[in-house]
Amino acid sequence: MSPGGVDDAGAEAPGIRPAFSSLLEDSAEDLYESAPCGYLSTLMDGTIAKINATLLGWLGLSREEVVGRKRFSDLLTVGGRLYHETHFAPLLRMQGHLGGVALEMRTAAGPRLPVLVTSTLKRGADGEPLLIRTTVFDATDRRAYEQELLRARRAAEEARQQAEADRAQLREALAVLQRSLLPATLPDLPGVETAGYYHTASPMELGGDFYDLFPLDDTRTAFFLGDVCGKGPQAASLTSLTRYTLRAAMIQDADPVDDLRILNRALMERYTGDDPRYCTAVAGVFERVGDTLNVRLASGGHPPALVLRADGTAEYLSTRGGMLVGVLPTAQFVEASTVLRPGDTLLLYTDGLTEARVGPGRELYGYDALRSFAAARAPAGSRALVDALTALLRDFGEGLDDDTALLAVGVPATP
Amino acid sequence: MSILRRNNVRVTGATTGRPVVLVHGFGCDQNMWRLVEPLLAEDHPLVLFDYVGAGRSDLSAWQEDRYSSLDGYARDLVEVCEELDLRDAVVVGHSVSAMTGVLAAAAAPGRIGALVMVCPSPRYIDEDDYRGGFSAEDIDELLESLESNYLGWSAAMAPVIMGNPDRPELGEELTNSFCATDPDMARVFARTTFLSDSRKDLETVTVPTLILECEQDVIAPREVGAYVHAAVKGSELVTLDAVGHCPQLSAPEATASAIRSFLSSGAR
Amino acid sequence: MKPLTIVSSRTPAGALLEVAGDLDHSNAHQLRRAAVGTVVSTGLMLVLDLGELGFCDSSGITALIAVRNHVVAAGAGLILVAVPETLRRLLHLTGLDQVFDLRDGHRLQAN
Repeated sequence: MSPGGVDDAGAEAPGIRPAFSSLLEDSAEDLYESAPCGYLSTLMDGTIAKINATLLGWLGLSREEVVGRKRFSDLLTVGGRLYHETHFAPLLRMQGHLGGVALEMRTAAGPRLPVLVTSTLKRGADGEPLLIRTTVFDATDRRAYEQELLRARRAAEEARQQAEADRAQLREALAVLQRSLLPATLPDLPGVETAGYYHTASPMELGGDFYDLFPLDDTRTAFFLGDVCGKGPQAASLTSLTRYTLRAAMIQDADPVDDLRILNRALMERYTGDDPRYCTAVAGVFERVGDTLNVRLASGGHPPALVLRADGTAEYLSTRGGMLVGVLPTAQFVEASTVLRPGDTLLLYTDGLTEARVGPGRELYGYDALRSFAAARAPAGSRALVDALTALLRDFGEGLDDDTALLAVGVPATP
Repeated sequence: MSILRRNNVRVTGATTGRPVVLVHGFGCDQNMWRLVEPLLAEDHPLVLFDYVGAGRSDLSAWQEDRYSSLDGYARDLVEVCEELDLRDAVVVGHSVSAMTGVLAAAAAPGRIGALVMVCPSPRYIDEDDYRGGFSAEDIDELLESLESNYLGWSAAMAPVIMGNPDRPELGEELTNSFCATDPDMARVFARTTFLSDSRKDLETVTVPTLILECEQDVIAPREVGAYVHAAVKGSELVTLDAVGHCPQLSAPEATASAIRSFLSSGAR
Repeated sequence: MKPLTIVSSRTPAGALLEVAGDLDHSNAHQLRRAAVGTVVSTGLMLVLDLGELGFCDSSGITALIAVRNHVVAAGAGLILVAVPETLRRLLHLTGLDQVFDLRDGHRLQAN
């Protein structure tokens, strides 16, 4: 078609025709010899029968040195030759064609020439393989580019591994720190069964829940459980302050309301003004009298304790009106007491449990559900109750996105 | 994981007769035997399999330490023989698998009753008076080239660079070939193969053995064939009129007929 | 997650902040800043209208306490109006219903 368009179809465009003619004069022979890629043809035993000038130029060899004297694999590096014999040649036999294989050739001057090789098997009329035609592309730039990409990839991989190791180290450090805020084990107390559990919502974030339980003397034992505001290192330092303040206060004075007041003062002094830090907490003391435990506890803004009775009922121990600890200098804390008899269990928990989202509607688990759950298991020993709740927390799955602490104290049922 | 699935075992050929196990070497997989298979199938039950790490084996069963020595590959062979409860089988091992066959025959005496070593080499590297055909530097260069991905399918570079060699669609594209093994596993196999020295093991062979070599083979030259022939007591050496390292592809009829005449004569 | 919006206006009794959307650790500082930026004078009131408040977590509670501390320090008072049920329950549980002046039901009309 003429570049002049339809109006002057057949007209000759000056300047186009001479270029076109010279293109036509480019003989097939010249195209073969000076093609921008290497060509060679080999017999089935690999002996080179024909090779173009381009490839000879790349290799620095003369036609006389090569044709009839060398095999294709002689042009390769030792690695290339082994690869050729173990992969390339057998596959070419099986498939009749093979493309895009990276090999390296030896040049007369010394340096290796990275190449991409494609070969085709030419068969005779009877299907017998006659010869192999091969094209060779100079892949020097491509190889350099690939190596650069590989280097970048290795660097990225190393960085990723380092980051992974750093994360693991951080996770480990956080786990150690978190454990340091909880008792390693609960003390063995005669006639009392205790159990605790801590659910960590995220291994990468320190939670703010805490509990503790420790004997004051032969018959009396102090305990507390709570939840500081926030998460992370700041919450951990607040937890630490809270835990040791309460411990010291309770050793000194076993009145739970007084103990929460001392904690309130300590937090108010430490955190002031527009950076308020606070916690909710239940603190208490139980005294063993015969086979019963007399429990006194006080709450500061914390969800009510739950009491499971030997008769299979469960009721909340109201401490309504107790205020967050660390907010107001004149905060009120509310005391409650109960007596645990054989088969009775007292459960303290943090709101991770009651605030969990359940079901397709992601509704609050809530206090009624917790009471029903506990009543269905009452009478239950501390260990059995905490184990059942641990399983419940696990079942919450995604619905549980907060840390949760559990602490149970009970009198074993008389056999 | 069953051994049959793990090693992609295929049993074909005659239902009676002496079983022949065809074992591929470094490079490809059981497809290497496709031209010889029909020539032996009439008289023998044939067992073909892929080593773990090659062909269509279960790559998840690959363990670097196991497959870093020829014993690991020999265990694959022995386990396949045991799984099929083969007795007095003929193991035809190509290249490095000729040596794997030697190890397996020693490990499972009753099961392997004859060996055919196709282009065997117990040691690729020259050492003192021994001529393996390669210098230590040559082999280092090969291994280094493999490790730097200088050799092989250029398309195989893509997953290596992208870091997802597990993407099956890439695997499909780059293969269209029977030799597409996982590059990491292939590197371990190459290292194990080309650094191995099994010369001592040749002395342990007690079963009838046929050695097949090619006229011209850069990987296992004639000197090596002569060495193996001298080292294996009572062995038979046949030089095929073929060039290259894979006579089962370049000269399948000659290969099969040498095996058949060996089995019909002295391989008892 | 609904974005937090805080609209400030004046009433004869003092300042009104209408807080709408979800209040959590990512934006609780906005409420503190809005309250601190509101000039409260002795004897006057800061009213927080929470009628359109959605989710409110412990960071939200912390912000409310900080606002209260700021207002009380200035000698003024803080009133929470139209407190949503979930927040009311939380304030009740934590005893903060005794600290905050909660006005039920109606929303103050901004002038």
